[in-house]
Amino acid sequence: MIAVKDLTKKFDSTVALDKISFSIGSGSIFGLVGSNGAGKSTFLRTLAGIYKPDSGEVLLDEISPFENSEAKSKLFFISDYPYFIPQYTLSDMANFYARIYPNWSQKRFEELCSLFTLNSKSKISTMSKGMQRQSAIICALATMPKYLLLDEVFDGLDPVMRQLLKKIISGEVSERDMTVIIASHNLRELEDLCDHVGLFHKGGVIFDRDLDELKLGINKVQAVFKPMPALSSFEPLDIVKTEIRGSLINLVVRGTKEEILNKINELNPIFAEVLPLTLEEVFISEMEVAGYDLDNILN
Amino acid sequence: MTSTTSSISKKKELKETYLWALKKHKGISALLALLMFMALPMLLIMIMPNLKTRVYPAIARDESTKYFIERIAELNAFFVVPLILIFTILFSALLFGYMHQKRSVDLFHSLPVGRTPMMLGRLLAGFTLITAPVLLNFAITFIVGACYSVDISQCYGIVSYMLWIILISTASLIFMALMAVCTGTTFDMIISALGVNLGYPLFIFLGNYLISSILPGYSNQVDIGSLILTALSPFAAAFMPLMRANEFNSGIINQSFFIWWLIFSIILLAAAITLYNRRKSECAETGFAFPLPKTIIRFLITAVSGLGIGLALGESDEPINFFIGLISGSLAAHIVVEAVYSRGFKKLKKSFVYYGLFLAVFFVAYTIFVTGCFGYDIKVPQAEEVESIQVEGRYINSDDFNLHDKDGRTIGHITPTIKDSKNIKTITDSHKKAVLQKRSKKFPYCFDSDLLYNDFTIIYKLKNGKTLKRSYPCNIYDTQNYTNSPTDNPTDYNNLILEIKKLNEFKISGNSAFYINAEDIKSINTDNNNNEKSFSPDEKTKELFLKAWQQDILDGRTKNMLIEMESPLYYIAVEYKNPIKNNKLKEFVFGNNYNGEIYLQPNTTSVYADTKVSELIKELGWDK
Repeated sequence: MIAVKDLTKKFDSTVALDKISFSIGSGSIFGLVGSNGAGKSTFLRTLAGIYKPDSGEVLLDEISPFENSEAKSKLFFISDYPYFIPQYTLSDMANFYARIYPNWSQKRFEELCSLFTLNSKSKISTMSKGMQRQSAIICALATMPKYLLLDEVFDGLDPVMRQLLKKIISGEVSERDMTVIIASHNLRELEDLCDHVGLFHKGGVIFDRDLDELKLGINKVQAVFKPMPALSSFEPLDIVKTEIRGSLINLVVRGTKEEILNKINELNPIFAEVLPLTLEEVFISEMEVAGYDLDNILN
Repeated sequence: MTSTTSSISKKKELKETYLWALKKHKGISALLALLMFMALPMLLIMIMPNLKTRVYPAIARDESTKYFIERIAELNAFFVVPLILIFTILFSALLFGYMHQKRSVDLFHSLPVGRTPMMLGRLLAGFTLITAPVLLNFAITFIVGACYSVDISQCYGIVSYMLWIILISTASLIFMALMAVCTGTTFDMIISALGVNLGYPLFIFLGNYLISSILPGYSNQVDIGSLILTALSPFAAAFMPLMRANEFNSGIINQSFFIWWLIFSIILLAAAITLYNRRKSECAETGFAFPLPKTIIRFLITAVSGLGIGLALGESDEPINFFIGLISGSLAAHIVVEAVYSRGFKKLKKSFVYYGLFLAVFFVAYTIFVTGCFGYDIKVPQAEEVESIQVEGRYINSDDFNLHDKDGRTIGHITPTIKDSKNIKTITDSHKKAVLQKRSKKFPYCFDSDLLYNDFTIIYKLKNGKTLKRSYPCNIYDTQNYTNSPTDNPTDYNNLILEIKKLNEFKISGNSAFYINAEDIKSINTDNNNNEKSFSPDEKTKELFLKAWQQDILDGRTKNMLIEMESPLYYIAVEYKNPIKNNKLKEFVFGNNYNGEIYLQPNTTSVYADTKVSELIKELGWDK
């Protein structure tokens, strides 16, 4: 269980995390999404015990990870640019982690090496970006972490490796009740993998929710009206976004599919359909509400 | 129970960090061992046969030992210490450079290893990686020595060199660790370390030089090799005791260096660990994690450049030149340091607050010294407060009056000492007159290059147990033109030293001739126009000679202040029977604090015409 209470982190005058509070249950895969500079990586680093919170707290099983080896031994953090000790091979890195992490599993390491088909005797610095990331993932999973913190982990991985990674992570979560937090801009991949998402923007959390609930709670409506009713007619709907093109109206509306369809049908459309939003569409809609949209940026 | 578990965990973390760092960098340690082998044992292997077969074919064992120790001191100072320091910087960059990259900080600070064990483990690894090659090579050095008939039991000096190198390399490593903690990049770490190591000794040296040239009587002049000069600079300190050891030819490194650097290393270690625990990980790749080192280094470099250029231009005793040099030098240095640390000029404007602070500190200090430092310049004790007065100086204390132990180490000196109350009153009165005369000429003081010469020092031992020490220049004779005539340009303190030198107590207490009996004289060697003769007279003649010699000294008819007053007829060297059996000398110099034997060098002096000694030499026929 991860509990975040009024967590604040500042870099000089910049507030990277501004009193955020939420919790992440054990055994979940939590997707961290948000605009650039929203504080996702800062949050992961604070969670990993790298950064000390300026105020508030972040607790892993009720223990603050900063300067706490016991808490840190249960987690592994792969940063957006994973670091490897210069001149080291994957085996060297494995030996390095094996000394430090009490739950290191050599068997798991070897299994993963064969799954990812990496030569553990090759120098990591000579590997491609994707292979380096695979190396980091192998080491991370071999430490048998309870909490796996991943920052842009899909970057550089080919589609097959992405699928493999998602499969391995899902397996570990179901088998060992591992909790995974993934910060990524690749919402398509998160949509497949995560059960929870948190949306960060400007150091705050816009929402954190169960992904299915989220997707069910917001829908896209396409309807044709002749004539087009006044916009006030749509007020009973909890509209996030409206776009009218002649007789076609596109809406993003909060609520269940049935509720929305009933209210639209009351306006006698020629044609109406309610479609679920992809995570990317949810992201764009919610960010528009927060004032982060293309029109705002361009203007 | 929790604390026990935590303690075990910390120990394990420290052990694993140590072993990992050791394994990671063992190759570089091996390289250090190889280079050190080339710099010390290998060179000794090449040098020692030369000593036996070419330089001194019939060399004795003790001379071989001495030669061996001296060569090691030289090789240490010129090759081993620089090599060790270079590798210390290299190791510190390798061991602590991880703090300076965001990516590596992500890795190391997310590991289940506390910061204290991480720092200590790496420091211990660094210590081992440097110490192992040092121990190995000194062991080989001893084997080389044994192969060339060196008396290894006499080589405690080499052990002290080795211990010194281990201690100072450890101190340097901890110092570098502290710099690594305080800075955000490895570049800043290295330039900050170099900045302190160069800046501090220069600051002390130039500051001392400035005070010496302004404040009359200032007697704490820092000499090369003194502890204070390098007290905060391990890199500079590394060389100092080695140089002094060679200088004194004793082979033993001064204990004060060991004690200070042991204490200072502990302070540095505590500071490094405390600050590392407070250091923000996000400081990586930024300028500084803590602003204090930057402020100190900028102050040191600014002050050193200002004082250096100011004093160079102010050599002509023109204060205005000094101030022009001070302002221009310090301002230029401030801008350069700020530009280097801030990677540009963006923060320059704000930084001028610190430059203003430097100027304020300087002008306050300058004002204090030109106004006599709260009466330091005229402070002379009342005669009744004084127990004794010692007088030292380059024209007063001959090396002939040094006392040695059986190994030739200097253990003391026959220093003229005034205890008679009447004589004390004479000196304090003359001293007061001299300092007031100096003040009356020009006050506030300004640059006076004469003051840089500490020709003589008066040490008042007060009845309350305190000591008051003042040093002054004197130029009694025109030594510049070798005319042996009184100078036309006397200093303000010439009369003072002349008054002191007139006192019989001064003459008696400061010359070995008054501490021996006739039977202590072994031989009297005369030199008349390179016609050297040696005489071993009977006891009666020795008595006559000693009496005549002592009378000439009291008459002021011997070499005065080590400068010839007139052309001598002869030079004589009185050789003593060592060790000196007469306890008078031991008691005078050491009181009851020394029980060992004392050895005196021959007392050399000049014999002028119409003196008691010249008459005796004629009478004895030694002039033929």
